Amino acid sequence: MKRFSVELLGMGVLLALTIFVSSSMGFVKIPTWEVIKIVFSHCLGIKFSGISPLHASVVMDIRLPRILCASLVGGGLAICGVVFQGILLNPLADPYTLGISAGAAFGASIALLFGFSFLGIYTVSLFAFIGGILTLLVVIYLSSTSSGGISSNNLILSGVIVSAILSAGISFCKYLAQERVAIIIFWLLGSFASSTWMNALILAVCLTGSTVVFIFYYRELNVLCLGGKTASSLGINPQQVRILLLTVASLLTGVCVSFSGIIGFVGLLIPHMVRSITGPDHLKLIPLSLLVGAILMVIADTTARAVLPAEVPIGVLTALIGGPFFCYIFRKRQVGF
Amino acid sequence: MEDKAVYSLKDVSFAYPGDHGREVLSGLRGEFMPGVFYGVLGPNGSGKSTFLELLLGYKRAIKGEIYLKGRPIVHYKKKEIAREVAFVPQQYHINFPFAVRDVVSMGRYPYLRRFSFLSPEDEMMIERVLREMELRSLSERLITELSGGEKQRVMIARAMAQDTPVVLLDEPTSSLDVKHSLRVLSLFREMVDGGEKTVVCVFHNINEAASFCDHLLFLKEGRICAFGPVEEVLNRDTLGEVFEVDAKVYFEKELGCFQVIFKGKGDKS
Repeated sequence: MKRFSVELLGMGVLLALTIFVSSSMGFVKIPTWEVIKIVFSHCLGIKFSGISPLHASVVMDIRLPRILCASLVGGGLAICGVVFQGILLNPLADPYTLGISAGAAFGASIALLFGFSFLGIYTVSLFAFIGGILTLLVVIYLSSTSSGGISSNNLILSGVIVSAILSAGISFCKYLAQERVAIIIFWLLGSFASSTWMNALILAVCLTGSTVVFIFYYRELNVLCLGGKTASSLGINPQQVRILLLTVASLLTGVCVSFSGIIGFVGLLIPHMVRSITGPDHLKLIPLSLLVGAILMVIADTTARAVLPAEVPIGVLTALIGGPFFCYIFRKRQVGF
Repeated sequence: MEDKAVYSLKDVSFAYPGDHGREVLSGLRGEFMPGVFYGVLGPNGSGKSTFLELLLGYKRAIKGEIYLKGRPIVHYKKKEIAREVAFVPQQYHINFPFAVRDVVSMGRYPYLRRFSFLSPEDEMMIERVLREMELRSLSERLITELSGGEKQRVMIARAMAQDTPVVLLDEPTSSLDVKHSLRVLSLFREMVDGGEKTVVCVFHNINEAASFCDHLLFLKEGRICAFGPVEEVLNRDTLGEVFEVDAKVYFEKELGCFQVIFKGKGDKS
């Protein structure tokens, strides 16, 4: 437990540093210590000398909301990955396995195709969220047996089938959109470019709530790894716990996707990385995955925004790095862990 | 006598929903007493595993009632059952690299409050079980790296750590070598002899059952064919009826128990 506390603290400090350093990077170079002064002067209302108003505005209005959204989405997708892998008893599951991303993408495509804007900038997010949740309901309905049980294999299979149908729907939307196809494609690639403080606030609230629920059920998640029947013999109602955690994780995934677009592989990779360091105990896995996910997403977003010569969609970047890593894990599974 | 029974089954039937009411188990009745080692035998698909799942409260009878210590099992909370009944399933797949000790510790789950950690008594129990199952040298190893037999011993240790008056076992020795099979069954035998524990164990091997059990229950096509003390029910007629084989039952003096030799009925020789 002592080692875990040190790891947790270390990751927390690392996350703060990453956020400050990446806030200093970009078209306008701002020294990191000035970023720290700007943030503290805003949070605590203390006046520091040597802060340029332009720099303050760049950090507070443009970079920080984006960086915070990136860290919250990264952390959110990572803990969703932990929970989905735990519930589905499958180390290769991720927040998108159940078709939630395809549903969200389809919802967003519909909103973009018809140009709905009755909720302003949140219209697409709302459609994406509803799409994701409806997909989850369909997947649960498809995979539940008549006795009310849900097997993890059924869930994954249903998720794949529904995703395939929705992908066709998305392609059809793109086809119909004709010259407006670009906005759909850009949304699907994922981006934090249009992040606002409001997005960050909503994400922070959802992430905090979900993390509390997941930690509350950490022991059940551990016992569920032994399989539903054994978990049941130890006094857990596997269906009930599965449905509850599935719902919370899906809601969180839905919120993340609706603000950032489709950013793949984060939810798959981070739990694996963290598990290989701390072991599979969910009490440690959940908070550490949250922090590591946040750090890596900020680094990825900063790379996409400020390091590469031209801005690259972050979804492309994570898939390009994450895809080969997935292959590596998959191959390692074939030859045995 | 009746109120002492651990389990008492009153015309219990089970069918899978949507299976046109085809009963997997039907009309089961009988009583299970404390301090007795029960063996369940029957051909493949006779409903042995389902029978254990009913006793575990994992599946619910569609007809009849199962009483656990005089109270209908459906009135129990899950955690209450878990403090009375432990279970070792036939199959388990663990995809996550838990250490052996962590898996065994999960046996203490029914006794833990939400944010409390293992107490010194819990730790002692885990330590004792690891020793009894000869798992101490493996206790820090990862479950995903163990062989099938070692995993099975871990799962048995996990159930033993639950420290319940009733233990249900589904072919616990199916992937164990001779030495460990005997060790595991002897341990349960000692637990039954030493206290008021009840063990209900599904067996694949009839001679193993005959060596270790007090009572045998024969299932065929979801019905109880015979249920009683080994010397009363283990005979040529029962085995012929249940397994459709020709068998000779004899008393093995050196072992002090009955044993069975088979001869296929369709065999011309």
